[in-house]
Amino acid sequence: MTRRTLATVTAAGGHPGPYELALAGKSTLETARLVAERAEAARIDALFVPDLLVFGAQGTIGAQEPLVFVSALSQVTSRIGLIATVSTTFHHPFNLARLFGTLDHVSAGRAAWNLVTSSIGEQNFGPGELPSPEDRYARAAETLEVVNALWDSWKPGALRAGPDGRAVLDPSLIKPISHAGDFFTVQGPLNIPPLPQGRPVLIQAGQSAAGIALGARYAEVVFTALPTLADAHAFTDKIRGQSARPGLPLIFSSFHATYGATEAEAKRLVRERLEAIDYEKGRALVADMLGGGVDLSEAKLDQPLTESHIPDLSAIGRRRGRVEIFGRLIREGRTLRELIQAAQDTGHWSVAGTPEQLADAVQERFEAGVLDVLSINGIADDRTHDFVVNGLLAELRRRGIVKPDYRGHTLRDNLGLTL
Amino acid sequence: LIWTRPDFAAHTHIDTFVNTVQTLERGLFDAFFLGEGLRVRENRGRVYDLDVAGRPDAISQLAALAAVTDRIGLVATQNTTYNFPYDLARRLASLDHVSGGRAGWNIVTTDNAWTGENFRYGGWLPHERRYERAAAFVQVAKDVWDGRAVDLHTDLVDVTAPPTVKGRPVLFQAGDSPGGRDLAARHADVVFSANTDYEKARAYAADLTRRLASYGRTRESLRILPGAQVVLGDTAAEAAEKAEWIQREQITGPRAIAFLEQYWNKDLSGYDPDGPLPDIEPAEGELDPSRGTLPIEHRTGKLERIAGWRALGLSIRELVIQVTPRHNTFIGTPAEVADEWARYVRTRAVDGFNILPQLLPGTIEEIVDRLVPELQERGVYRTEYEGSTLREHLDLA
Repeated sequence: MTRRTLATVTAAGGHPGPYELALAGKSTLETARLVAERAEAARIDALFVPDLLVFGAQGTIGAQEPLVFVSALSQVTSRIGLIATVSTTFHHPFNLARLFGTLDHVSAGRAAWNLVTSSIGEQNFGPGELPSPEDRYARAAETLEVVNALWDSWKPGALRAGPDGRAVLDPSLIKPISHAGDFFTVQGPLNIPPLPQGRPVLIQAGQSAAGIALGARYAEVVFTALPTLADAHAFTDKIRGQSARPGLPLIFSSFHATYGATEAEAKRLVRERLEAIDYEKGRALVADMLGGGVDLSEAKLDQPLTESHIPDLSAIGRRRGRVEIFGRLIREGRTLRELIQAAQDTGHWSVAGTPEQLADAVQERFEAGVLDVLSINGIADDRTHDFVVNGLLAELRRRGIVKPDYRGHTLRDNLGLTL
Repeated sequence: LIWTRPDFAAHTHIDTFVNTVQTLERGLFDAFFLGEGLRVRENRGRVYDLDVAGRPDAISQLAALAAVTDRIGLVATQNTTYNFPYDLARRLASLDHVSGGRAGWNIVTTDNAWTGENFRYGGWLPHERRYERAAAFVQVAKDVWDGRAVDLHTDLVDVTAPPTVKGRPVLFQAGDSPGGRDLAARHADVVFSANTDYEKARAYAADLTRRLASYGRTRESLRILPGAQVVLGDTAAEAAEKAEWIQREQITGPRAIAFLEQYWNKDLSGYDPDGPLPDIEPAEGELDPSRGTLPIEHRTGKLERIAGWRALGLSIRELVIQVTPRHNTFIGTPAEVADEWARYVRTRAVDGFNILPQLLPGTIEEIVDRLVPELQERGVYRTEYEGSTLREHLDLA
């Protein structure tokens, strides 16, 4: 058996973030191509593309449809995995199976689906309101049953070379799925030959109870916001406790690193960033982290918030996991100023230090068994690229935590996942 | 055919597409076009055909190709029946962005009932209402791309969207029914017509010109590109022989049987494709009109048609080869085909052709290397790309 190692992911360009500052004047695709080339040169396992589903004030940034975007990147890269975020709430499973099937074919087995149920976007997909979390997760579960059946609808050997070298189709090995459920009826089979990976790697995000239940049952990787080691332990125990598959799902955490040549420099950068925060705007941000129904405009910045600011979870229809984290921070006695600072990282794991100190923090979680996939920032930013590649990544490789090179040609190979 | 020849790569392999589209770009083609299939081809409940056994999503494939090409347009077929207007508009706008303005959308409404079994609504819209939804759907997409807010609520389309992304994919349309022609006249920049014969092409152009006028548009605002197959040879006789061979390769035994089963509506798998026509009588009733694999004019009068076939005395395969239409095939030397095409273009019967290759990469390599220079010599084909967007290539406003 291959020794367990830490896999690495970085965000593709083309969405808001530090890259745009460093690469001003370049088109979205050019930026993304540069990010992808740097990431592949650094042997990062996969590129990640989020989906905002709506276009914000930032124009086309954040607007690219993730599957279209990573399909383009598939031809300027050859080894790196491609993770596209797509909602199950706004898509039909037959289309989803085709779309990810196509991505897996065009990328020769490098596709991954980051499954979300969406907390925004319903106004563009009418009719009606965003379904409740319970309905969204029920629809997600049924969607997964359907797409998995479609991907499996061509049995091995359905398409093979005949004695004269011609392709031979054995219709008896291609079966309809005849699915009839609460949300969908789908006849099948899929009209794409078997995927290079069989199925794309399934990543799922969502830390509410319903999200954890879905992840424990289906996901191979779960994307999490786990600010502390204790959070990581609690989450890992909870989801693995519900999972019938040993060691799965893998825990994928975003690592918001502040790099410094010395500890003092890293601390100074953090301090400067905190000083630059607009604390008046921050009130609205924290209110948003608490579900959007809380008024913090009169609260004192340097006093702790109270129990009355924590909303009733059952009344929250979106981003429940995030609300839980911020509710807990309030119970721990954090001041509003501290909450605004935490909200800058939207509840993610945030560490500042030298590359060695950052590597220590990563090693601690990796060795505790609560971290399997690490999302690294700063690789395409000229100000931090050297810290990431020759600092943090090199240090993690020296310690044998991150593998020295790609292990295989598919993302499954590189993540050590089998079907 | 692509699928069944061992010396050709599988057509789902992206390298096949990369090679093809790069050859077309070398030949200064306006655009590369991909169709859509949403269900594996079946007959009597069994998958029988490799032809559409692999139909990946066109936008994703074209996005991949955008990264390895610079100029050629990239046209994706996508249906308006089983997609969300906003989602598809965004996917097409993304293709337009990643390709630097080279995206096109071939608007189709799909073969409804049969395809619909793969979606929740199976057969949910009659033919006319599919076009009604299509027109509203395209209007939503145009509003989204022009940055207008959308607030449309009907029983077919229900969207509220804020002003959003800019983008302007070129719109293609291919349906030949009156509903399809009207949709083209109202919204399309380009039509893929099936009217390739010269006289039919002239009549079609005249009909479209009339329909355009009723939407306040002129013939100048639309490009007409009928489908065309090309078989070239050093001599006319060689080209004819090659065309014959291609036809035989394409109509395999199982495909010939499946073709007849559509008319008989009975299991004919026990018959020898190289033997005589089945001696049993076909099932009663006309052909299923919801299935898109047969031309509309062949869906009625099947008993007379079958009687006529029997009188020919051919084997099953010979018959199917003979009755499979070849009206859109240009066969000859490069100079002969170029002369004929120049006539079409100069009389504005067409603005170009949508070439349907039978062999990959053979057909397109021949066209690029042998036919294109002849067309350039006659002044009916570009000698370089003047613009960088698909809209510029097609000289559309």
